[in-house]
Amino acid sequence: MIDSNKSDLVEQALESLRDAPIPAAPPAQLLSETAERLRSLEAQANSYTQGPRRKMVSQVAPYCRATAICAVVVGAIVWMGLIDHSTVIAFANVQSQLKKVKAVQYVEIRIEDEEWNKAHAQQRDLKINTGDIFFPRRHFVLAPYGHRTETLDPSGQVQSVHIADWQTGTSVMLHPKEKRCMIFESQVTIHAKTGQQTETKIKPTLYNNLYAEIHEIPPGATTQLPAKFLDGKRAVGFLWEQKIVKQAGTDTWKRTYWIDPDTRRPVRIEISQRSTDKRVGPSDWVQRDFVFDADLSPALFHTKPPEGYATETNKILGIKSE
Amino acid sequence: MTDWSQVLAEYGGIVWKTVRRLVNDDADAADCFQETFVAAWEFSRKRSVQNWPGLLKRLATARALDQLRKRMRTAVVSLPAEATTKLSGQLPPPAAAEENELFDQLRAELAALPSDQAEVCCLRFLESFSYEQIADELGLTINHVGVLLHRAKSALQNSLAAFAPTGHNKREVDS
Repeated sequence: MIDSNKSDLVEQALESLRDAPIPAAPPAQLLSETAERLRSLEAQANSYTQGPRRKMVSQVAPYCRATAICAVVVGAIVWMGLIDHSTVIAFANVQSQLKKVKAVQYVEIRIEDEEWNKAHAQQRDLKINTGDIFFPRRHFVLAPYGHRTETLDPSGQVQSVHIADWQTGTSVMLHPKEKRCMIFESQVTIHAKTGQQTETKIKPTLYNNLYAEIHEIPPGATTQLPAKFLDGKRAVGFLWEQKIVKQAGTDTWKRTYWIDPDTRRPVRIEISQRSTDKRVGPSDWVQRDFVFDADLSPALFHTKPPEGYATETNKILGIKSE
Repeated sequence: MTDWSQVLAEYGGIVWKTVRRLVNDDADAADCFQETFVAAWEFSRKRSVQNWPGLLKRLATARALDQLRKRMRTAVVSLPAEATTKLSGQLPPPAAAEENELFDQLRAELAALPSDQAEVCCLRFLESFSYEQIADELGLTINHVGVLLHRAKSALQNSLAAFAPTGHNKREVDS
């Protein structure tokens, strides 16, 4: 059985097994059973892959996938602010939109820098003697000249009311609790070096008049900021940075206007003041809760002293260092 | 789509020969035959088949070796020593009996080999695959095929030494 001339016993044995006579064909019954089993498997697979429901799902699935991917991409783009409405809103649009507004009211909050206050307590006491500036203020503006500012005490009661008529330059400060009225007819500026005094009509400043503030921003002076969500609504930002160089230092004012892209009106204004003058501490304000075209009574803006109020006339004093 | 009737008609004989030779039992061969085609069907659903005979021979060899291993395990557990003696009394005439004994031993030794060595060995010597064909079918390098074959032959050589012709043994002793 094993050829002794062949050196490899294993190969010989395996070749013998290979060449051993074996019935060449499988039994017919086995062939038919196997064929039936394969047909059954094929039919089962086809019913899954090509059944009406599966077919419909497989036809719709690519579109669903594509739609889902598109939705995710668009959502991500919107969320990240890559589609920026500021590209279609110029600040001039905001300015022109505001010109149409007849009345506006908002709340202003001053944000204190506690650390600076502690470090400069004595200086601060000397500098600010009324203290009312630190409480929230409610502003009412009646276009184009009326401006009423109510300063609230910590309990939310009106502590003082300042009413200004920017057309006549007249302003009054009311203290309801004391029934006292201070009338400011003009402002006197004293030149720090020469001592010369200049009396002028009271003018609105950028700080305290929204109209003046926004309208006086020169065209092209604002920088667009990435959009963000404020109170769940998307807002487009414009930053206006203003440097005022003085002898004692440079004041840097930053005003950020967050604009509703639909109404093109402010929803929030953030103001910050920083100075290289060490006597001037950091100050921040936030103006919010804007209500436009509210029905404001003109009586709120009268600069005549109310009946029963003790009146005194005064001038607003200012020192000009340069 | 695969025409399985045609595949069966064309390659059924090859598969049957492969499994029947290794398992040496009609019932086991029938099981292996069906399992081979079911495995081929599963394979064809994932990839297109370029070489039906090559694929079927590989699958059939693997199934047959599995069957042999299963049988070896069962035999070791269930067959008492006297059963072997009793069976040996039913063997055919001496020459055929010796050949059958060699083949049975060979099957047992193939089943005892590591599966990759056994598979390579069967494909090379029972199915006459080239090294390259084995490498393609099993996803191995040709060198790896050579190494596996060498190891398989070494293992089998020791096990089958008892079946070597007397002269051969004598030469080994003399040397």
